[in-house]
Amino acid sequence: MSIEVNTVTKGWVENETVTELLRRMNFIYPMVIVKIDGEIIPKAQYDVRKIKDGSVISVLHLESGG
Amino acid sequence: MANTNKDRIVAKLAKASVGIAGLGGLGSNVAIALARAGIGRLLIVDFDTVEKSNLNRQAYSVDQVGMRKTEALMQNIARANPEVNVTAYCQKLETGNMAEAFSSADVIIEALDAAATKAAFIEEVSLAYPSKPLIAASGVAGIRGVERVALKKSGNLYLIQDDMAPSSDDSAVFAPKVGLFAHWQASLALEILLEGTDVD
Repeated sequence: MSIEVNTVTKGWVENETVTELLRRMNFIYPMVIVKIDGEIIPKAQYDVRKIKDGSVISVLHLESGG
Repeated sequence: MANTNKDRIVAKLAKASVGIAGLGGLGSNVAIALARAGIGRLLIVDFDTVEKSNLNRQAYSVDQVGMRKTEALMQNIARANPEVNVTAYCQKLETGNMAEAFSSADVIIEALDAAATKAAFIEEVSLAYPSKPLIAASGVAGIRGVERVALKKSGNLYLIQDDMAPSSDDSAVFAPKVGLFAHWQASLALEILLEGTDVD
């Protein structure tokens, strides 16, 4: 019962949403890109999309400047 | 006489198309680097005009202040390499219209400014074109931290990132650091476009 977040193994929490996972991981950056098993998750789904056991997740944060 | 590696590279790049979203410190420098490298086609998008304050890092000159960035960059690309076919869109990229201009690009470069716009662009373009490589950049502000800059890859999304950099809201952006990111983006685009070609 585990997930992988940015290559680190973490415990899986039943019914946890993307928003809840980001909070649990202390990802406080306001702008992030979340990919689950290679699929980009639209921001509009963060509050409803539940993380499945075994998911491989990458969270990339973005800072202004270009 | 057999084609040399260089001939093969030149021929392959001449057929390639790269889309660049945003023509500031990242995008203008990516465009010039790819033009010099011999890219066949560039699709460039920005709504802004050149300001004097841009000249500390962007690939424009004093006489171009006040011009649309798309027009100024087309001039500069043509001066560097007149062979490049440039399609310019003077357009603000906003949620819902971000992907369309890049439908014919082989590789897309995210070169936008605000973090929220970067995130929206990456989301929209990745969903619209899941098989197109997208090269983004984050953390270009400040003068410190070039040793921290690293490439993160997740599927077709490549992010060149200084993950400790300040926001450009709090810290200025200067030519050397943003130029490093821009040239890394351009170099990675070449690497992707030339995959399978014997280049070394």
